[in-house]
Amino acid sequence: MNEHTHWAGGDAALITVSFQVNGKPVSLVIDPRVTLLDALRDRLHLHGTKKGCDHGLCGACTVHIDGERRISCLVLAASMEGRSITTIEGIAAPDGTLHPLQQAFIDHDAFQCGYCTPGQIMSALGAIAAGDIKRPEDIPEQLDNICRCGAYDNIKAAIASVLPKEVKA
Amino acid sequence: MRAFIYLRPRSIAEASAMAASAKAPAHFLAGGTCLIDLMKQGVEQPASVIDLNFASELAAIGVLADGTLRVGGAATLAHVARDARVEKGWPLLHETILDGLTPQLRNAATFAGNISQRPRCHYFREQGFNCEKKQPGTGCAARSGVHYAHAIFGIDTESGCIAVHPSDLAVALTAYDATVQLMASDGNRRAMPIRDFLKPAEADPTSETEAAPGELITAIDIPPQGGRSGDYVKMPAEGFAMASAATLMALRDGYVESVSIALGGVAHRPWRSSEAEAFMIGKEPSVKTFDLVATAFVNEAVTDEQTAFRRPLLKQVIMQSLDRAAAYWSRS
Repeated sequence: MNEHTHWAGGDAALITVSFQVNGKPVSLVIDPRVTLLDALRDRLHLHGTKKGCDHGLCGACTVHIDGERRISCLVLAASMEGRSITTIEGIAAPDGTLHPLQQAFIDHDAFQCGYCTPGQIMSALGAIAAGDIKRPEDIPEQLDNICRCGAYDNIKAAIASVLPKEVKA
Repeated sequence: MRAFIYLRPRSIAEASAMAASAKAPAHFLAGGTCLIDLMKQGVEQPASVIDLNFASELAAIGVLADGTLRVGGAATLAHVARDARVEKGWPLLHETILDGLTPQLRNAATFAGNISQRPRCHYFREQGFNCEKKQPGTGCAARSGVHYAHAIFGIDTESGCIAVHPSDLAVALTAYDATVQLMASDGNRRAMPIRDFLKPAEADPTSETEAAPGELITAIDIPPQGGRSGDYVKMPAEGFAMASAATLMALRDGYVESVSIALGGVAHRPWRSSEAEAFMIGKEPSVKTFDLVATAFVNEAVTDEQTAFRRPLLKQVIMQSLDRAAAYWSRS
């Protein structure tokens, strides 16, 4: 069922789960052990969401669930029944124009290896939408995603550049 | 991860009924930030997983007629912190929630799950080490291993578990004297002070709470903060505390009228001392008073060469928390 995961404990009864990903309805027949992260990558072939630590510490797998930023490695796909997921693949305009924050990451050179970037962007967008980043000074506390290359200064600059004008000051 | 039967109740009653009939061991799943991780590690191997994410009544947040804040077991930390009533009426709770976890985890982690989370002791969470929690009587690998972040209060000097309770939230709830509302799988309800609900190290080490198998935390009741000031101090500021202190304090005419202080990251459950609190009543909220209290606490700690650095750390954390709670009164 999932070539990347070794099931130590026998077979489980498969279940059907239906939810939305980037505005499109999907329905999967899955082993209940499958995490949302593995379902996105291995079943839906959305490889933008990255597996970093797989233990909820690094933030590389951040997606939005019903508009809230969440890690996808410690949540079962089965729990997503009826919910709406947004991944990094779902934020650009339909014509392919990058989201302003994606463009800002390029303009500010806000990555080195780029592995953490989808998680950084989804986390920042979730924080801005929730009103948790009001000023550039809020960014470090609100963005706990790990960047092992240490591109934090440029990540902060990229996010600061897309904050609504009235809260930029 | 072991195979399990996945169950999806839509109400508290249905969740309870499922717990009664599900193949054992059955575990409730809420935010998943602890349970799914432990299932990946093979430490938890439930035969049934009862997913509480579809029982929306379990996530309710409300204020009772007597002013008590009632937080549903499956309410997320983020939703409680965002609630305007909580920010205004329970500022210590609000502050403590925002001092813990990452924003993504606060959007997932729930009140019931957070206080029920299992220790972060690496000898417990990894396979292949002797562990009193996994197999009582086999000894504790942490005692002879790396334990600089383990318990310094309430431990047996010879044997037994020395893990600490990792939650920040539970420390504040202990300072508030919160009550845990429980519902057994036969439908019977009971309420228990959080100080009793979270077990000491000397009790049966295989679980950290008094919840029986299949017993659901339906809500946590938090008395009004009222006129009391509050403050939470944690070291290190990010990650799991090696010393933390939650204080609630009221002054009258410049003297301590009431005080409640709970310590985190130092014992198997949040630590309170009725003697220390009684000592402060009627005293001037001065550095001298706080130094005496913090020193008395630290003198009770049991440390060795690995944990000795936590004595001055804890003293500093206690004094800072008391001082900040008192400073609120000179500002107002």
